[in-house]
Amino acid sequence: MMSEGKSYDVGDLLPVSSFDAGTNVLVTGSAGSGKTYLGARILAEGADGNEGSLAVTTDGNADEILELYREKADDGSLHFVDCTGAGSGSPDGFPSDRFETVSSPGDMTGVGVAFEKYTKRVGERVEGSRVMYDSLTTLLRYVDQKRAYRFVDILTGRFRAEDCLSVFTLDGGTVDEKTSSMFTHEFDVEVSLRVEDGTREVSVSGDSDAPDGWTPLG
Amino acid sequence: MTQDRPSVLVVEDDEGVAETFRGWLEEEYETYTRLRGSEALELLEDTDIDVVLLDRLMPGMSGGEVLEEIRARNLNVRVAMVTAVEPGFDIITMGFDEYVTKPSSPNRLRGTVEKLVKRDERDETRREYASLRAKQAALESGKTEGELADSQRYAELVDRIEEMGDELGKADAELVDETEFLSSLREVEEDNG
Repeated sequence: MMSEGKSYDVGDLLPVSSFDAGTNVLVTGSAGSGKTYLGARILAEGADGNEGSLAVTTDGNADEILELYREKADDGSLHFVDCTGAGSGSPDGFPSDRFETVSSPGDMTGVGVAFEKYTKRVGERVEGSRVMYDSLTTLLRYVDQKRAYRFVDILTGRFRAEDCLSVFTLDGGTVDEKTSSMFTHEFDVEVSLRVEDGTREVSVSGDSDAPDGWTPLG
Repeated sequence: MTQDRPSVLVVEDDEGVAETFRGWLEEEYETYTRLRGSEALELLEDTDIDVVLLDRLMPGMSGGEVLEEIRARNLNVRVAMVTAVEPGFDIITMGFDEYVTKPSSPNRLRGTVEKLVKRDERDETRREYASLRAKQAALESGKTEGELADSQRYAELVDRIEEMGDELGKADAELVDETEFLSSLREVEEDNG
């Protein structure tokens, strides 16, 4: 059973120190703004807290996520779902039994099944789970907006029911304002990233503890 | 459900909040709003409603009193208590199906309604089990471990949940939400519209 009042610490990464259990976070920003970095580091922040973590990648960047994770923590509680369908297998040195594959980013049921397998596997051994979905930008190349939206709606509902912390990434520059806004409404918190004078900056909205404006990304 | 779409009644004395909830729900659900508990009961007698979102603190009849009346009249409706009130142990005896803490979000509210609409199709034992689990979750998020440990009522609630879990077959009970989840994803994939 999850301890009462569970929250997920995010260290010094963001201008907020933690998120409540069941929070779904959307990370937006242009290419190179640090979305994958932030998602992987948020996962790694839970490694010492007896939490499990699941990285769902549609971009074939499991190696990058693993590297970012390992810079911060041991990967013993990390699991992957690779949706590229490339069949390239798990990154070097990463156990295959914590690496699931799904046929394509459009195989939404496959992602759901992989998540259920993950929850059954970690069971009550963990006190909470962090899930990263990287990225919605790729999903939108495989399915239309309506279905992507419904997929996100169902997935975030499930993560909330399981008291997870989820982090989805979206390149805001690749979608129109209406689409971006539509997705934003599905999430409890939006984390925006940008690069100013070579520095990555972050702004958090939807969390009452977050200060207004931009601050350096931790 | 007599309409094509499931129906939701928002009972909320703050008109602004009621209209916000309506805006979040009306695309998917036949949505009604009432600002007073007595008006809500009148509508429930005349109209087939699937889910009621009930504010706990209202002038006149409180949400708790409306809920008692709904159950006393045997109205076949699922009720979510939507409230800014921290849950106390008194919720254990209340007849709601879900407990939502304000401020809510569109996704959270729609998720609750969707869950309750689907729960309407289940048998009574599973409904009661889901309701007890919702109470347990509300208390565990609002009380300290010490307060929970000191509460006889909480201990009895947990015992009852375990008993019912055994009765239903634990795996079966826990699979309910999973099954809905995967079915919903399949529906999205298969929808070519």
